[in-house]
Amino acid sequence: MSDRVVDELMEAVWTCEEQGRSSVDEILGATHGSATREDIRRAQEQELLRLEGERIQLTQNGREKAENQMRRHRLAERLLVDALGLPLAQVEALACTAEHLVMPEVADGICTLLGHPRECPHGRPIPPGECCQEGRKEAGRALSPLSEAPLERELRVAYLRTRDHDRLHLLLSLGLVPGTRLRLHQKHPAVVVEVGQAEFALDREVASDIVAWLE
Amino acid sequence: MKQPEIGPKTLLLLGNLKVGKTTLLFALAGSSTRPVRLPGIERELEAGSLGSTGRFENLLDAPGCGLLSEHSADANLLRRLLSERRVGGVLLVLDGKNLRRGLALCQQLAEFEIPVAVALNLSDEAAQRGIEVDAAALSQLLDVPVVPTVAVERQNLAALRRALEQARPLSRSLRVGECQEPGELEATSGCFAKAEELAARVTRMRPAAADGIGRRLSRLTRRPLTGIPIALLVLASLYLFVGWFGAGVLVDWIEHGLFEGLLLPPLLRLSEALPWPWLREMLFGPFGVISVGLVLSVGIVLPALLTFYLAMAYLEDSGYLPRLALLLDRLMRRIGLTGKGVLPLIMGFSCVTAALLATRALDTRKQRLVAVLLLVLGVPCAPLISVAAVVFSRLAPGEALLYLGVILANILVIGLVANHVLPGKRGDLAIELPPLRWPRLANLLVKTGWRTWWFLREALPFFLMGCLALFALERLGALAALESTLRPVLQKLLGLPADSAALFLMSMVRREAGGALLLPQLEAGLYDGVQVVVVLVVMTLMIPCVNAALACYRVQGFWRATGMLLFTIPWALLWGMLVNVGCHVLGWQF
Repeated sequence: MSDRVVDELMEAVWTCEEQGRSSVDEILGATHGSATREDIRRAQEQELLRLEGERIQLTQNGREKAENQMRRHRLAERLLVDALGLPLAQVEALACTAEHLVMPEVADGICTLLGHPRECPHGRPIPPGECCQEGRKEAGRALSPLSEAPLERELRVAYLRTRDHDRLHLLLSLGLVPGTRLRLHQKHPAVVVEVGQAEFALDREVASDIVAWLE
Repeated sequence: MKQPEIGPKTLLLLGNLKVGKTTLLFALAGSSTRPVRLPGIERELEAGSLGSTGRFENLLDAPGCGLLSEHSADANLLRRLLSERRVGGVLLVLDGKNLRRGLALCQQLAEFEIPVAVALNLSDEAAQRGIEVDAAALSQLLDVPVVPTVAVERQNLAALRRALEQARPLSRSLRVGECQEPGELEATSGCFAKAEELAARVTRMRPAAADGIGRRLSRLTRRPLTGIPIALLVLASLYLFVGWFGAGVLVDWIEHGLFEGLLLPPLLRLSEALPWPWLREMLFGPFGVISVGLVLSVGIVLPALLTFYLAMAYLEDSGYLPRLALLLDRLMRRIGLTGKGVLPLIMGFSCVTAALLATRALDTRKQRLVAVLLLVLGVPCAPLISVAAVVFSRLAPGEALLYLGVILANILVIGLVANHVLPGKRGDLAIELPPLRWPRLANLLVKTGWRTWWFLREALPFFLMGCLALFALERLGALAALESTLRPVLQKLLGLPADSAALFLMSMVRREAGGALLLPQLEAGLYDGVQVVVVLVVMTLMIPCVNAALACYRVQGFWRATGMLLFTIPWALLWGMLVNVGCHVLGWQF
């Protein structure tokens, strides 16, 4: 049995709880039969759920896990509907896959990009993340090439968009790989970034090939 | 002294750029450091003896690199040294404040299963920035000895020497097979992610003391508003130190005080006792081996060169030069050079031959070609600059400015045209800006001493031979014949006296020797300011010294090198004529 079934179970518990339901049968029904009582036992072992008679409660750990998962799922739905214009009917299956692929910091990026949406396309609440509490404003700028990123902020390299092998190798050997945290110091006459305790000078063309998240 | 023997008893110094490998080499091996050639490897490397009879007897310095998987000549060389087991072990130099990059390199090194010891260098700079690396924990993680050092202050070297005996292969857990495949972005990212995690496990951050003066100065030097005035200030100081102090004051002391005041008069008196007049003329005549050859090389070129090398070593060790490359990036792009391409050009101002060989490290064919063109066709090397500085220190500032203007204009013209005409890609600017450091006097003196010694070894025989040749040609009457042949070119085209043929002959042996020969003529009042500028411009742009010509053949092949070298002759004459005619038309006199 994969953990994905447990994930689905957690989602079902969360959704039912939103509707004020918590019995074992209602929850198993909400998973459309993909989860069984055996899965509930497994989730209990992982200290995600508590069984009180026939009622299921989330533990503290379980609540955090389910909340994160729902956040990613519903943000993915919003992204697919709002940004990519997919019909609502097709979205559900895709969002189920997407939620497993999206890292937490990327979720914050999508959330900021979409302007911190409060509800999913079905009208259910999206659990707020850190980015919403901070009220990050750079909606369209969550992801930007270094040549246009804001100065003196924490950035993290998302991807390198160059097809030039020499340039790619140059950036790799300097350690400017996806996942690298950096800070932008200046853009003229060349771009200067600080990575850890090292400073690098890049020309604008190279810098525009490095796409970074605003953290 | 005998050459260090490179083999199983040799430790290779490996590390990222600017982590203090060479300083560590000098700290451990001291004056035994020598350039060595390894069979089958074109590049000369530095090696030195550890002076012990332990497991390792000598050290081999390697070029710095970010990753062993890099696509560069330097990384290829390193991979060969390691995989062919040309060395018995590795002394990995890590920078305490940039552990992530060092540990990425370290993971790649683990693949080679070679004995390793680690010097955790620059621990003082790390501490200043509030970074504490737990050497014991790092040693446990890597499964090899780790010793914190401060190479410039020779701290902990005894402990490091002891640790070398315990060198062993890096922990197997570091090995990431895929990291060797640089084509895979994911693999390299993974390598760095793991390095970051390892670094975090052994590093503690304390709140750092407020920005040190070094960091504030570093910021000021890279911003255009403050950086450009600072760059001008640096150049002005360079000019004051080399042009005024070295070429003026110091040369004056040595040439007039030491040679003319103390050494030459008794020698001249002795020579009067010589029974053969030709021998007297050979030693003390107008092309005398002692009165001209020795006085010009040791009395004039050497002191000026010494100050120039000292100033260059200061700039190199301070970490300032990459900031200059950053500020000049816009301009350098115009002439087809960016980032790394600037470095051979800067090196060319020290020695064109070494710079030509260094062009092989450039990334694209176009960059290599543009750099070679500029070096062959327009960059004056340190000895020539020194001579020019001595000459100009005896004239008004106008000539110096005219010479400088012509040299810069020539570089710009060649660069602009080459960049426009030559097909291909220009390189990217992506360089590290090392922290600004106060250079240590001892290191500067060692570096300057070495370069000066090399100059003497290389150039002194040429100076003396050049004098002998001119002396012989004059005795045989060949010089007069040559002068009358060249008279039309020299007098009509360049506006020079016919006997300037001797200067150009001498400059074919070594450029600065020809320039130096100008000095006695200048003192005799035979040349005016414009003529001096013409002579120096032609010498600077025409065929560089024999060694540089050979280096040009090595890096560009027969046809292209021959073409370039032959092209320098009409090109140099054209500029010389432009200066001559231009000055007369505009009525400029000095």
